[in-house]
Amino acid sequence: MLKIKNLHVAIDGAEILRGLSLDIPAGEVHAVMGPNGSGKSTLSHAIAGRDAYEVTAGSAKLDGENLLALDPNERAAKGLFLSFQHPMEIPGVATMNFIRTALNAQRRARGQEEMSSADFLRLIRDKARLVGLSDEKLKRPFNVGFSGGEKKRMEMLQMAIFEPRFAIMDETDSGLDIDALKMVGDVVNALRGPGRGFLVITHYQRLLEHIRPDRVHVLAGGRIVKSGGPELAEELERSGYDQYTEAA
Amino acid sequence: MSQTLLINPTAMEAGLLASAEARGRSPAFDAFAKIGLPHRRLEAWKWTDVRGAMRAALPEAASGAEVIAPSSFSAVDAFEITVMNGAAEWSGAPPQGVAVELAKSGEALSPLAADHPLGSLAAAFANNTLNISITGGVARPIHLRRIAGAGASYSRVRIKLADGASATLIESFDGAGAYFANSLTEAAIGANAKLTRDILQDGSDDGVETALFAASLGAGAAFHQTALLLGGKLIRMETRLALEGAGASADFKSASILSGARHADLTTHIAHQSTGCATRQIHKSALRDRARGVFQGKFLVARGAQKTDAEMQAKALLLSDTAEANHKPELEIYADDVQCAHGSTAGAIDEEALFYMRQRGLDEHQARALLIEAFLADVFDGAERINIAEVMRQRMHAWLEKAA
Repeated sequence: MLKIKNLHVAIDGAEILRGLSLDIPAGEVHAVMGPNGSGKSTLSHAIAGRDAYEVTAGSAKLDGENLLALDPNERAAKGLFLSFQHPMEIPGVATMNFIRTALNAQRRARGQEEMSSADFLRLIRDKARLVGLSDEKLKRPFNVGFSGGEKKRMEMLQMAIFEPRFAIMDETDSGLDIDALKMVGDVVNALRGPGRGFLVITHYQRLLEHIRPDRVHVLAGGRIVKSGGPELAEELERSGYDQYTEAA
Repeated sequence: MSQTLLINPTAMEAGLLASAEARGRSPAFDAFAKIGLPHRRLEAWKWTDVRGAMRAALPEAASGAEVIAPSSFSAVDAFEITVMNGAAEWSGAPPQGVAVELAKSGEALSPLAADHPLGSLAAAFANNTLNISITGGVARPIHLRRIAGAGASYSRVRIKLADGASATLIESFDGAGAYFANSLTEAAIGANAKLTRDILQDGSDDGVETALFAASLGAGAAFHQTALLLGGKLIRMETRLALEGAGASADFKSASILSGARHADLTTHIAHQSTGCATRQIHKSALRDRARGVFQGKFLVARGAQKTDAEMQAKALLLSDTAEANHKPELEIYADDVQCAHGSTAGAIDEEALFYMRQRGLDEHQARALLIEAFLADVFDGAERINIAEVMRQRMHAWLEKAA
């Protein structure tokens, strides 16, 4: 499914990722854990196609297709979704209109029919209940006046609506209380299945109690320095990242 | 006879002088002649150099004879007065409570307009004055449809709202070819009267349009102005208000959306002269290519105008490296118990929001259009007449289609 090989990424000429390789087969959930500054968010932004993140070497392919040659919206249409670590407020943009425009842009790009207003309304109401966002919140401009937790719920709402083939969740757990963590787990577990993959980026093990990963990787100094099963997350929780930052 | 005219007149100014001599010089022309066409060495005109934009002589436009495209406001049931190359025409009876007549020009300028070179020029050269007087509540909007063809044209309008009257005035400014359209509108808004003025301006790349609107407000009177400017070679929309009566209020919402080498200048001067007056003003501009958006806003609070509550905001969105926003917010306050604030910002499109939207599937054009629209949206929010706001929004969308 997602194959990243020897990826080097620089921001303003400073190399952040230094030969990162990851292979996440269809149907699996992988976690990437690492200390601050290890390159976790750089990884998510580079795969999603943010301009300022310059890929200087390596490759990233989704089902054999070279993601790096595509615009961010083309990557989205191929089924790549990024749950942002810091979702922003976009004043003046009506939430439902934005999500529907985005959904239909993806569907058009895939040669599918656009979704009608009525079908969309049913869909968003249904998923909003799942993530715990009220109708009133959906009627506001996008994320305006939302708490950190509500913004993460809005990310999960969109993930549930777009049903991406591959989702990168960039510290979705940061700033969430226990109920919200469980909600995130529910959304992921409902989508989890044979044709779909997840990359969960996190500092902590606690989200992984709700989303049991198939593999855990430690990112330090811009590359994967250790991989293992779910027990690796527990070990990190006990012993911390020091040994890896020193190694990097 | 005044000899102060133009030490070094341009061809255009020499033509104006000859034309004034032929008509017989008037006090209004002499007032104009003290300054001539305003230019960039005058503080109030430093970003809008009318003299520089119109050096070559431009003959007066023939009246009539232009092709009239359908009005942008055809879906709005308005009483339409066409002002074609300065000549006013209408058909049918005006709405109840509205009287319209053409009078011979020559009245002295209202004090608010008297020191204005182009207001004086319009008064000197307009062939007649369109008088509109309004009593009672008039629901049907009045549409002053100003159209400029090639050449120079001048018009003068006087509006009187009786105490307690209310009306909506739509003013559209269109033009084709190389023109200079110069208009003066003077209004007296009586106590507790209310005037809503909706402006849609879209000129030609070679068109120069200058419009001065000067109004006095009685006690408890209200003035609302919404403007969408698409610019031209050089455009100046100037509004001067004197809030003379206690508790008078003004509300301004405007947007300039400019492409290419277009220019638009929105200038306002609000004098708060009595107690408890309130003004709210917001101006937004979205500027691309080499466009230039000018905003000059001044709040004057006179001695004794206590409890004045006035707030002004100007925001520019620069969509290219070569676009230019010039803002001059000014407060001049002579009373001590007042609340006055102003803010001015200019910035580029939010790259993070743009990336966010593209990650969700919008292409760059769609995402930019949505963000620009979001930036401009509140200018048309809360409009009293939804169908007029809708015309403005449609014009904005048409611009975004091409410009985003």
